[in-house]
Amino acid sequence: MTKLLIISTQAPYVTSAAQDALEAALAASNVGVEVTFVFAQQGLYQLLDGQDSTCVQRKSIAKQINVLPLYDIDAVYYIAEDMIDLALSSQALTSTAESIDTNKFNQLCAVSNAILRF
Amino acid sequence: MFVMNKFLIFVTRSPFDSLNGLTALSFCEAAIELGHEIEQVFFYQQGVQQANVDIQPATGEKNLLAQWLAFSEQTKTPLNVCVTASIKRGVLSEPDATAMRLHCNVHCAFNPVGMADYFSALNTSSSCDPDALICMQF
Repeated sequence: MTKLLIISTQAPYVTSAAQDALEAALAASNVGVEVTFVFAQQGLYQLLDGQDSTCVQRKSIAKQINVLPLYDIDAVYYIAEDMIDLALSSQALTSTAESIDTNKFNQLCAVSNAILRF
Repeated sequence: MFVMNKFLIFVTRSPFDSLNGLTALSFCEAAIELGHEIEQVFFYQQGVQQANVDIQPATGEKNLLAQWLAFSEQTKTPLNVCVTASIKRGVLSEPDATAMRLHCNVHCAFNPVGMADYFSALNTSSSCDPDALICMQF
């Protein structure tokens, strides 16, 4: 099975990147690609539990992240070092994503057949 | 020993706002010149604008669309544009334009496809396969 790593690096709603990354993940999983999804850098803001997208009239990114496991995307991670850099706490982030360090992230990159970065 | 590689190209930026498309095209031309193969070029995110016939380059500037067309014609490389990403950006294929009673602005040399098309191509190969496709994102 082909292993695809998607790295989502941008804050939600500001650009379409977060939404585009999620749509790519679902399309890939749908045809049997094994998807690993990693949030890095400003992308960690997508995981904030308290986000409310109604004022920008967009679909909630957090809600879409929380249903990834229903689409066979169980490997959802964020980079712990980036959380510290952004002064975020793990309690503020959705529990769908697990914390990994940069060593684990490097391993994920090494074992993936393809990488897409958004 | 020469090893021929097969590439899947993923283009994500529009022609005027970024050099992304030109860089991708230069990569494709160089790869083919060296004997490699380009399995398909897939246009996603703002990259769907590369297929937009309504974009008019300024006088004296290169027309990237014309270059994509020449490349595709010479090398028979499929140019695939993501339908979902393009509708949201006002880049409409013939069936969508007809359904919405709007005008079609995707050049007919580009194939409107779903993202699944790109990932299915990726899924046909694995890292153990000597003919594994290499995914290049621009």
